[in-house]
Amino acid sequence: MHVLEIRRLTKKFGDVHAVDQLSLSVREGEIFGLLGPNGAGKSTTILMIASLLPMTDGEIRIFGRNIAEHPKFAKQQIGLVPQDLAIYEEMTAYENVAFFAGLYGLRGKELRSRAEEALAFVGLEDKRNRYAKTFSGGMKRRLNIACAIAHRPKLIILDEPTVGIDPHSRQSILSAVRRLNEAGSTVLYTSHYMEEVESLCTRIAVMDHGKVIAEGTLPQLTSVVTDRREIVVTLRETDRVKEDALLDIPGVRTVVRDDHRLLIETDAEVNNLNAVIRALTASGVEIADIGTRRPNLETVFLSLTGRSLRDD
Amino acid sequence: MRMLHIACKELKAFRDPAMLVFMLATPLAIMLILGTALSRGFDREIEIGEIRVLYRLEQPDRTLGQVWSEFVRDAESSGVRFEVSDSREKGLEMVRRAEYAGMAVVSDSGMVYTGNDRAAVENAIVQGLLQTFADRYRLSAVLADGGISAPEDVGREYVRSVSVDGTRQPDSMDYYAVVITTMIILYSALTAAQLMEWERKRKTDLRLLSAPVSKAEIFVGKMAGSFLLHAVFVILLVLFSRYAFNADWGSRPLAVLPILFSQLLFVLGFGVAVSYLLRGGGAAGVVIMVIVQLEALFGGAYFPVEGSTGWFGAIAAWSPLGLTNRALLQVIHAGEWSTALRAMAFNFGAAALCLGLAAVIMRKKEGL
Ligand SMILES: Nc1ncnc2c1ncn2[C@@H]1O[C@H](COP(=O)(O)OP(=O)(O)OP(=O)(O)O)[C@@H](O)[C@H]1O
Ligand SMILES: [Mg+2]
Repeated sequence: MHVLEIRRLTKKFGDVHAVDQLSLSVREGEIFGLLGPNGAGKSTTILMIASLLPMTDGEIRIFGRNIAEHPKFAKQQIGLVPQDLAIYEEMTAYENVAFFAGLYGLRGKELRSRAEEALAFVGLEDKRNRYAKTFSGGMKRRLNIACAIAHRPKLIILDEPTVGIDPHSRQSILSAVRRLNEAGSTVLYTSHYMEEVESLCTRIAVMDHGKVIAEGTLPQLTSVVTDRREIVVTLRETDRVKEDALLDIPGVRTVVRDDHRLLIETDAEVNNLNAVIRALTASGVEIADIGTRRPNLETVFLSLTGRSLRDD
Repeated sequence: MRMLHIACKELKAFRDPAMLVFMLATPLAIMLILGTALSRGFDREIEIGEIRVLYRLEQPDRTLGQVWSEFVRDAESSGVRFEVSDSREKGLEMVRRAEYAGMAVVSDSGMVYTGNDRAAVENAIVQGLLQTFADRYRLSAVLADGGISAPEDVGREYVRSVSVDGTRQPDSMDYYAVVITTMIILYSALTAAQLMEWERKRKTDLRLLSAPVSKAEIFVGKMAGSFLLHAVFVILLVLFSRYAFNADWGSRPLAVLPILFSQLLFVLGFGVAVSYLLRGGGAAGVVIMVIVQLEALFGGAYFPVEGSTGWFGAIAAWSPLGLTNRALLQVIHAGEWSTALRAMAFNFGAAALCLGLAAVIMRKKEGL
């Protein structure tokens, strides 16, 4: 049974195709990852699944039912964790969770126990009576999740729930997502952090410019690029790098600057590390660190688009 | 059910210290300042000159004619001058033009007093006097007719719409307790304009709209919650000014609540309607702020506007806040409900119009 089926979904903002003929399906019990750089169209897709944005074209089904025809049914199945914090700072953690749970029809004793359960899931049970405005960024993120799960949704949609938070809160969120999945919820998880998606998700769709450009399990996706290897160079500054010189080196396929890193995709069997170092030192840049790594989702994205996932 | 749940959430704003200051502490402080510091100026203003009233005696018997002329003589010494009117129509016209505070049509079967709405305070005094006349006439009639029961019934119901508390003259606290309360109600238009904006700012509109509740449920729930919250503050204001400041809210202070609530509903509706018309945000706030401040001025929140002439008086006569204030003052000081009924009809009608308009725009709009 497919929890979620999207067919040729399209959203246009004026001339911009934020989502372009997107199709994908999520099966019951999966943690499905939607990976893509900024502006890929992840949030736009999610807003349409949650009936928050009208679609330009296409069709979305939740448990086989078209959401345009059964919006209430669809909404009842979904727990949405929006990308931006959506909580009442002037209310306590418990009041926030209980209020949103009540919108799904929970009342009285059941409402109270479910709200407590949701707070416990994200590790905020001992902060239940504190006002949200006194919370740290990470705690607010956790509360943001708790507000979406008290009604035990069959499908939990999280839109970049770990943006800009401390490692402790991030671990706690990732573990909460795993436990929610074990407790029976199907999860749709978007991120532009490759590591998160790699470690968490059972199946992954890579999105760019509103389209799915690759889909499958992690081994399936990386098998496309097993003949590749990536040289990662960390530099003091990347301005003076001569990309043409690097691209002339045998085996080098693409060169991408990513902040202070240089990602050089190269054929696996060609040994060209020395040549790369020589070319870099010749242009006068100072190498802080250099290493090679096996293909991962970032390599996949790089080889498919010629760009790095992280351009922020 | 879910509507009620949303309404209850709105009530939590009661804990907001800013709300308590704005809705309770500030108005009470203003009442205290205006009601006591300005009391001397205020008294002079309402007792200015003599009060002129028209009357007609219709088919008077001897007792009535005699008692009436005695009464008119006595009244003159307390600053109220009664002048006879040639015809009922001409007299009423002059009252309408505020040349006279009111007109009394007296017959032995009863008396009808028609006062100018804008002279509520004068009318309260006149009606108090008329009540003493009625008492005197009843007594004389009893004496003259040797105890026949008919005039006694006449006396009991003799003067239509006379306040029970007619002898007490309103002082400035009585005035400002009323007009500051209605002014604070007026200011809740600003809160209402922020009702949906408030959710958008917190991004919780996404949560509300992604839950299985309709936009209408959210709208009605939030409006109802906001109404209840403000209503509680209004009740507190009335009771507090009544019992702590001894302001006159009439013999049963809670009887005026329907008038105040009708104004509250209108004001909240007005706030959301403007915010939807101007697509929320800053523009709506500025427009409402300007309207609210002008309304407060023309409606008599800062000083009494009754009897104002010229362009100011012309605008003041059309002020919805002024209508509500007149209605309240007349109910409180004269027990007279006719203006109150008109004010409530206007407020409920205008509220229905505003809320309807907001609902139509909201349905067509994406999001809240
Ligand atoms: N309301 C809007 N009006 C116009 N353009 C929009 C609107 N919302 C999104 N877009 C555009 O649609 C594209 C997709 O945006 P979207 O927010 O879905 O990306 P995303 O994958 O969620 O990115 P991020 O990782 O930054 O959250 C972007 O080019 C964005 O500028
Ligand atoms: Mg996004």
